[in-house]
Amino acid sequence: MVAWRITKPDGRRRRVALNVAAQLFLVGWVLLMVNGWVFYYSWPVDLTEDERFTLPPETITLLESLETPVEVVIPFRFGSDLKGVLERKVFQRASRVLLEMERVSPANLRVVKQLEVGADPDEWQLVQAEYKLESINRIYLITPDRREVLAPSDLAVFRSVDELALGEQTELIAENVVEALTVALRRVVQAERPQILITQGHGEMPIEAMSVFARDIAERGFDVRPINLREVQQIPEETDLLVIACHGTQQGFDGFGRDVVSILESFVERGGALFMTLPFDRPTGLEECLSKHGIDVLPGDVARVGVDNKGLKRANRGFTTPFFNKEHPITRRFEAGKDQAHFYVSRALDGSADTLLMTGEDCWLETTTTLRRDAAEQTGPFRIAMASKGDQSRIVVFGPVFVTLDKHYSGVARQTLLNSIFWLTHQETLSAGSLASETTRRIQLNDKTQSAFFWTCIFVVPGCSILAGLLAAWFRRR
Amino acid sequence: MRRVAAIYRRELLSYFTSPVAYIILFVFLLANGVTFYFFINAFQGRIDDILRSLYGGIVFWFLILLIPPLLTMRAFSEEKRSGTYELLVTTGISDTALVAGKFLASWTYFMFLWGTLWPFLWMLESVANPEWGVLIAFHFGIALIGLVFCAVGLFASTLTQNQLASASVAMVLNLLVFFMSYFRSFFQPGDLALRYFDYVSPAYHFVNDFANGVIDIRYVVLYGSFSLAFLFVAVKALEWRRWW
Repeated sequence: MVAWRITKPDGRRRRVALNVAAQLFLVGWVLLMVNGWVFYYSWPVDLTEDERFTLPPETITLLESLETPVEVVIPFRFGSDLKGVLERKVFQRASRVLLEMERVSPANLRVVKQLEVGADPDEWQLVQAEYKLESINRIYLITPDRREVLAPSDLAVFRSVDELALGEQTELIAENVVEALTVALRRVVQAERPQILITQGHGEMPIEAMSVFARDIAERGFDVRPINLREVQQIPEETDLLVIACHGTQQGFDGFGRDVVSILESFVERGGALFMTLPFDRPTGLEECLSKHGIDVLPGDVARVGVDNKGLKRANRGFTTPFFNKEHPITRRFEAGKDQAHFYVSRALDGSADTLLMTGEDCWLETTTTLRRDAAEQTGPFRIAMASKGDQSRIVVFGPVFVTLDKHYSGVARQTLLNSIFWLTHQETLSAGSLASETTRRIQLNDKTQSAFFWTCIFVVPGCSILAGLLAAWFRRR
Repeated sequence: MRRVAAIYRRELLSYFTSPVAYIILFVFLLANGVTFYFFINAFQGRIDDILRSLYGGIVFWFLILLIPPLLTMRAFSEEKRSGTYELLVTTGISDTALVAGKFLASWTYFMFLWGTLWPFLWMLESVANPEWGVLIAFHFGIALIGLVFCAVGLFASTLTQNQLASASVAMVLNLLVFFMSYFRSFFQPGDLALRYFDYVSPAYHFVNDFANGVIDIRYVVLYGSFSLAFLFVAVKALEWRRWW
């Protein structure tokens, strides 16, 4: 070692030391610079099957256009039972989506508190007082003058099972985290809620029968109210959209009289927006007005031969739509073949307005009550939903009669309806997402699978490594 | 490049012919097998929770932190102790080629270890439907973190002739990186400092991104740059030894 030191002059060693120190400093500096730059840019690649952590363009546009910064507070303490586990899972997903939203627009949305209530009771009390929080297991979106609160049930659909139902468990049916957060965000920053009036008084579908539809649009930031057309002289000026959900005669729909028709016509003429579902067995009185806007209502209703739940082929009034208009904002995000809207009892339409939905070719227009395909009856495809856009006014007419009814309001039909409401109220940037079905990812545990996993995990696979080691040793010896 | 490939082959062969490597493999598979079976029962077959715990639980982190130092501890320490290092440098192989070859071999073996878990996952596939995107994200994350921890291990191995000391130094450095996520509690959500800590915290990346099936490309830059930096320091540590 002494000889080594003698052969190396001190000056040269000092230079080497300085050189290495300078190189290390340079590397450290480059490291900091590169990561300091990359820190502000994120390129997430979402590998999940339904891309559930990818924000849709509508959400990004909304986030970037927020004028009031939104603070998010998430107090939680979930139980250890299955319901608690599932709710925690949904909140974890929501938390991840909020993180992505914060990344997209850090100046407009900030998750300021996310705390487990039981872990730090003192902090929870402080936060509760500071943000005036009322309950836990909620996502609070807060602006200086408004707030929106989301519960787990707003983010996902759970199937709760009665505790007495043996062998059954609470399930997560579907989740809708991104859309629920987007909608809540929109509500919390919206200065004024567009007004939607649902007509009543002539035997139209009662609001109670379409409560899910009414609640769905109210949750999307609309002010939804009923209006009795028998009691008004005109539709109020501030109305953004009028919804007419007609019904059948048997259900009490008696059509609109001349005076009501003129009220409705003048509403449309002055630029009002109208959404309408047609009655299946009588005219509404508005046919002439609709015709002026390029929507003609054909006589009869759509029928086709389908297979019933007993496997028998028979004519009925239920069908699915294989056609979506890819050019129209209402239906552009649906894919023929992938998405299917199911309807039951529908009128057929025609005219020069834009087609939204069409039936398949196997349908016919049933003009009698026999529900049998006659040679004289027109065959499909038929238009069953159309949209008309005038200078100011917008009209969407749906042939399917019961589409707004709670029982039928689901899936693609629900999304089409919501998108129609957005388009009619000039909010095309919005779009109704689908409720992503929670795929069942579960091992059915029985004695056979448990035994298979036990032997494979604890004996077979680790045992293979020992065998491989012995083989390697044997080869090495040879 | 040929020299790097030669070192890589030699090192990899030494891994696959060393009894220690098979003991590590056995312990690794047994630990993961027992954990996997335990989680299947604990989570009543719920795949998402099983995978989240398998690739984010205490056993996972223990293995992630422990295995790279064990794999790399003998890389230079053993060469120096047995005197083969001097022999190697006299053959004209540069320190950079030496470090690169040894690093690639240790990282390959590290990834091979995690690859041996795929039989469990295929078994899972036969009875349920795990989300493969999430699994790919997990393994991508493991590959990235493996880059850094193997580079740290190699660097530690250049510092000493004692294998145990080398593994200990690497383990301490790895723990420092791992405990980065514990500094989160000092900050409020939304703080810029918290975002910095989140950016450099592997535990945070696993919980928030890889476990959810999301790969953020900036983490490739982060882990890649850190592993390159440690490899560079390892080369410099070898060079330094010639002068002192």
